[in-house]
Amino acid sequence: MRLRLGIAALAAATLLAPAASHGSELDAYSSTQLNVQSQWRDGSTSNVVPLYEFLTLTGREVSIPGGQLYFQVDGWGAANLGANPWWNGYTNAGAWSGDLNQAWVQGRFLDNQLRFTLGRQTVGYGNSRMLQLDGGSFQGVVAKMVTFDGYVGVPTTQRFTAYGSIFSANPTIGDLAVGGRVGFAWTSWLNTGVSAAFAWNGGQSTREDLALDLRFSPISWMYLLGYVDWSLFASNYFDGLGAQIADSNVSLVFPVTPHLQFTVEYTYTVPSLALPYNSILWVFADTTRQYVGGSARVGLEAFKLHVPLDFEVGYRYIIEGDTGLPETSGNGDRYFLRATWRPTKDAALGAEGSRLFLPDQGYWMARAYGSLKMYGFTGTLDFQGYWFDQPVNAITNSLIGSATLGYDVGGGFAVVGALQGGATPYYTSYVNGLVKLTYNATYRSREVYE
Amino acid sequence: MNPRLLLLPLALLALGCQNPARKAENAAPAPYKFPHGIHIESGVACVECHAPILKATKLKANVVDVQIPTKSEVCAACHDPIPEYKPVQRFEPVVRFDHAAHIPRLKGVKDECQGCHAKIAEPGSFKVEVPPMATCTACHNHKQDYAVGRCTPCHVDLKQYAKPVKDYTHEASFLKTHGKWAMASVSTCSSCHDQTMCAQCHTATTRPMPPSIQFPEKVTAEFIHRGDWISRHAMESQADPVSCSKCHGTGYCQSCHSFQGIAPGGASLRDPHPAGWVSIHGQAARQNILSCAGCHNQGANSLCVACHTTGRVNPHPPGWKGTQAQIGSNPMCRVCHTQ
Repeated sequence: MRLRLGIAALAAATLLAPAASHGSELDAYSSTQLNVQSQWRDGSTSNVVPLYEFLTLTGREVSIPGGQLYFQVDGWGAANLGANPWWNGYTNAGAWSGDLNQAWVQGRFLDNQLRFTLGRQTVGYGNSRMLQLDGGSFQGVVAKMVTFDGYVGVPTTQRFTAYGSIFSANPTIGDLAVGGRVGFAWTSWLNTGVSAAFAWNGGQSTREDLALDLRFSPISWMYLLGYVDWSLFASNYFDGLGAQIADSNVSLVFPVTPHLQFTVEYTYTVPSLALPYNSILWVFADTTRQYVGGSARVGLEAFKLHVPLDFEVGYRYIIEGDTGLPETSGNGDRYFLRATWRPTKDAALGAEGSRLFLPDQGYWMARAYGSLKMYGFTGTLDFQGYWFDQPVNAITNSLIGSATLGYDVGGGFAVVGALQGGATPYYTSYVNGLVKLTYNATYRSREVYE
Repeated sequence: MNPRLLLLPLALLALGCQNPARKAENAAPAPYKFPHGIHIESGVACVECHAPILKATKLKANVVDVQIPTKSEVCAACHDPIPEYKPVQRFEPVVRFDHAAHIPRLKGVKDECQGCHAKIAEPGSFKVEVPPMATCTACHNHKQDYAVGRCTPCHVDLKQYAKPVKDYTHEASFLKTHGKWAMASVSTCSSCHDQTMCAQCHTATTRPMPPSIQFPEKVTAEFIHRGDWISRHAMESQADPVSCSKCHGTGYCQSCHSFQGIAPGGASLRDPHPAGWVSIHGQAARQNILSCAGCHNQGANSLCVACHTTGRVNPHPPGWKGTQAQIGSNPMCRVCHTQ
């Protein structure tokens, strides 16, 4: 049934394409890519050589009675020329692989105020958690202030297998998912909404959450962002609101200018509530994670200095909740710093460093990278190193580098070659290669009268 | 692979053959014919021909806000006979603009229309002379709107514009915070980004590789899994387990862990746990149950069930309030509570 749904959406997109005549456009992206990789598995390495074809077709603004039609098909296929590569599925056998990421048709009506989408899609409003779904959704706006969003369908699974089972790679599992958001927006001051997300597998609840989100901006250079997702399901099994709040956060964002922005944030989560509620493991845990931190982006151009140098800095304090067991849990920290210099629009040079500290493990990271576009060629270099507080697979560091060279052939075609290599805890040394031919073009058919 | 998927390339091929661009290429655009400049120089007011614009609250597709006067003294002063001219609309509105609200504010201002419409198309021109955004910002302060990408109040669709990427790397840590903006403002995001953009990262269930592998040339992009992710994924998961579980179900973890022989179902099972694990596993489970779920989430067949059944070790944490009625109605409970 699910496969039929996807194919129906695809067929609809195909059949409707000839109607493109009024201000419509078709965006095509194709990438034929050969990877040559070493893959670590069960203590040894295997050489995998998948040849991929990625294809995305997006149609926009195709005139239909009363509105416009948008559609998108995004999928890939692969011929496995070497050993079978690992992929997130239990049925990864054979010489061929493939899947469909998106395949939807969307009708937009009433001057874009009403949208219906049918097919394989990704819904991201409210507490849907960017759910990949085979089904339908709608978005409606009333008087520019009240919004209604809803979805219903089956959570997507890899290669159309594992529907509703614990082997689904989709974080929301089940044979039915329903949800939506009702929002209210008033000028740029206020945008708030209530959302709900439900999923079932064989009649058993796997998700049952209500959420409230808020964006409040009484002054143009400050935003208050808030979100709280409350588990209806957990409220039946746990005392105390703290054990029922699956995910929440509040942030203050100060976007003073594009080159001068500050953010402070607080996040509270209950990790066990991220499990499907029909998981047997769900009843074991009660710990929490809290995060307090902030970040800043400071570009010298914000101070009228004509130096295209941006700095980003951030800090996060990680608080592990007390489990009530004898051994106390510990807290951690995360820092990061990045500097990016863009001397021209075709060149960038950057450096970054970060530090993650956890009670029993952590790492330092340093990275330097650059890109330069010249005479149709684009070259990049990227070096990254990690130094671990405790050995990983008996190794304390990981050093890798990569180089790419691309050429814009013209007519929407480009070729890219890449080499990556290094030494990591799982590879004493390795070199991976990639070569790809991409095609990206937009075909427009704008309305012209005589 | 399901053989019915073989229909996919055929359908895509069919779609590709129906290229709408060919229509555009074949229908060559026609140039403008009306000589605006000479009329303005002659002192003809714009509203003599553009009277409907005074009441136009929207720019609409297929609506031409022109009304050529057929028996106008203004025209007759120079034209005899008055030539026929059929106005056409040559563009899709790309902004939302209320002429009716703006024009009264300009009354009395010299060259009131040309204050915005400094350039006007002349005969032979193919270019639609839409006033630049600087015209708007001469009166309206959109600095903050620009900073946060609040474009849709005015712009219908931004996909046709070259993106000012240099300015729109969004604010620091945008990768971490973008979800907070998006959950309430999908329409704002979609004014610049297609669902494809979201799907490049957010369809982890069906993609064969993370974007950092697929696009190694994008060195300035903030890809989460860049570099040697495998070696540090356990640390990242411990630091922020919910972040992982928003994209990856536990089936994703189990698939690889089984492949590597460190989870039930692996071909050559190896125990990844340290010595003395049994005595400390409870603490570990309380602290990060999602880490356990990466290998041990097999429903009723989960390893945990063997010891944590009724009458043996109680696994429930403080604050647990499950009732007998819930046990009866929830199959998950009945796995352990068999009596």
